[in-house]
Amino acid sequence: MKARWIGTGATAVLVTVAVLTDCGEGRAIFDVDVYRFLKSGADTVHYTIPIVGTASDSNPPIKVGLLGGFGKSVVDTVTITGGANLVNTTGSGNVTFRLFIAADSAGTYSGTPVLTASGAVNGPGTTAIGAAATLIGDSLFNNQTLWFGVQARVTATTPPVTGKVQVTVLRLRVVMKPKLL
Amino acid sequence: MRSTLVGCWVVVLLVGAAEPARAQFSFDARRAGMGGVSLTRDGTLRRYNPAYRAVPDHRGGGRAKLTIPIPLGLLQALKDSAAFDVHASYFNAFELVNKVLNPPLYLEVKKAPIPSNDVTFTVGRNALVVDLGKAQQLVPTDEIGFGNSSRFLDLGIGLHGLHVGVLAFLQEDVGFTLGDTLRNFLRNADSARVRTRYFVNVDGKGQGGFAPTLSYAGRLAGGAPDADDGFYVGGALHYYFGVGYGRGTGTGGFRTGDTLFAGSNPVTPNVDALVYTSNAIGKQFGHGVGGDVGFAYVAGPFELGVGANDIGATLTWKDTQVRRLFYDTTSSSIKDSIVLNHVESKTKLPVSYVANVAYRMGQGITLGADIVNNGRGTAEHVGAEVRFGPLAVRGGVARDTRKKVEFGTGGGLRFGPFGLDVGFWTHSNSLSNTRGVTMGTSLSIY
Repeated sequence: MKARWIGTGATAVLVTVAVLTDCGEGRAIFDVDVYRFLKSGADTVHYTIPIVGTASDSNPPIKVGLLGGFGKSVVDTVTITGGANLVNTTGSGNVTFRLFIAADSAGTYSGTPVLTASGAVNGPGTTAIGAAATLIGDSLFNNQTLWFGVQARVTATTPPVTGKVQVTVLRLRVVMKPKLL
Repeated sequence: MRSTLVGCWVVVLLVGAAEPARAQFSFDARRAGMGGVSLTRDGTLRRYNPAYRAVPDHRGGGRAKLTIPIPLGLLQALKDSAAFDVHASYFNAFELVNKVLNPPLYLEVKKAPIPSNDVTFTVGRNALVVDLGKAQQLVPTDEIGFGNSSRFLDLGIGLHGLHVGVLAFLQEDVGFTLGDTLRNFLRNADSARVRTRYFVNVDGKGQGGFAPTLSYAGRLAGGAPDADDGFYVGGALHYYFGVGYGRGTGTGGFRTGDTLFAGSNPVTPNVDALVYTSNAIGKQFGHGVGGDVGFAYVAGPFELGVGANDIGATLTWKDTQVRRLFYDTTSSSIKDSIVLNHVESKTKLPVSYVANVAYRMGQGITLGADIVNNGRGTAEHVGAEVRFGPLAVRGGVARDTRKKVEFGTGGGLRFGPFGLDVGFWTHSNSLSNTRGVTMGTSLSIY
């Protein structure tokens, strides 16, 4: 192997500091397969609505670790793509798959959902639903850790409505101008 | 896995892809215009070839008493200094790095394009792929490193070619080599894997001291006493006293856990190195003997020289301590333990050499070439100068220590004792695979 040399050690230190500062004029794009995190047990929400009306069921939020050090970066766009199967067993009504994202576990379901997709169910059967949403400049995605919660919101017209929402795809694409210092 | 870790590795790699600024850097625009070759008997020749201490300056050969660089690049850098505000939205670190690797003394007339592509991080529960795009090409596959070897002091007295004195020396070098897993991760966008070690091999050394020296340089045969012609030889014997040295060799990196992003401890630092140091710095010297030899042959318009430094320079350190540094996963800290103490170890100073040839053809045409190895790689330069009265036109080509071909061209005007020169040369000092072009300007007093 042939060595390549630069002038001084100080150069290397400066270079290290400088390049850690950002990645040039390009953007940093995070393509996160959230579904892989949910598959550890949170990709399915069971629902049981015994009477006419609307109710929600949800799973405990799942922590998704991202790369750290981008807290000062400027978030450009965030695109969330989700899909699920509504596997209905009994009853009819309308089932809405709702995705929540928060910086902490306790507050995951207290905000507004970042993604919703709904479909009608009528008796036993499977209905595929999906949706995509784009957020602009949301600093929530500067966090190294995010909590994802999946909720099933069911409006029962012919109770009891029972079944489950089974997430099939959930991806997050965050585009940011990196700024590490 | 943390971005800072990724960033550190990326940076170390990108640094290695950069050519030493020092290798191409010269205060003399004439030299720059000839691809780095020097047609005068300047300090480089006398540093590496002891015979040149006896060769007088070429009469009318154009060696300036003083060369003053005209720092047009500094003005440019000052004008652009706002771009180096790290907190500004338009800050570009690559620009700053390139300024460090390619000091802005001279004007950069063509900047090497910097990587500006997007970097994509694909994250899954047990997956992390970093796609650096075109910047992947800058991730080196070979060892990368930096270092320097210098004689920063040389004092003594001379009489009839004999010279008795003492010189002070300092040498340091550090080399990094990527482990296969880390290289694939960065260069080939290979996914990070669980329970896998990502590491860099590190080997660094620094030593310094002083050396009483007895040297001789003289003309053994040749022409008239007032002529340059002749066969010159030079040699120096050094007895090295090493004041201190340290060396470290080992690996540093991290090991991924059972899951990359969902576990409580996704990565564990991994450090395992041996550190050698001389005990009682300044009291127990390292000892060694080495020498310089060289010759120069001047015959009318033809000139040839070969010289080498620090031949056989091996220092023996009688009292060395060897310590082991390793990351202890139990206490989550780096442990330091003495492995060996008061043992003997040896270090070497790198052999450096120069070989040069020049031919003054008449009609103001001079050709020259040299091969220089300063102990950290060889560079070759070939250049020519053509003079038309006060006007000089120059050109040259070089192969730098990265084996990249560089080009130079330039010209100058001389009015009596003053000369104004300009030289353009290509360089590969930037974080880029494309050459940049720098324009050097200098004022010489003859």
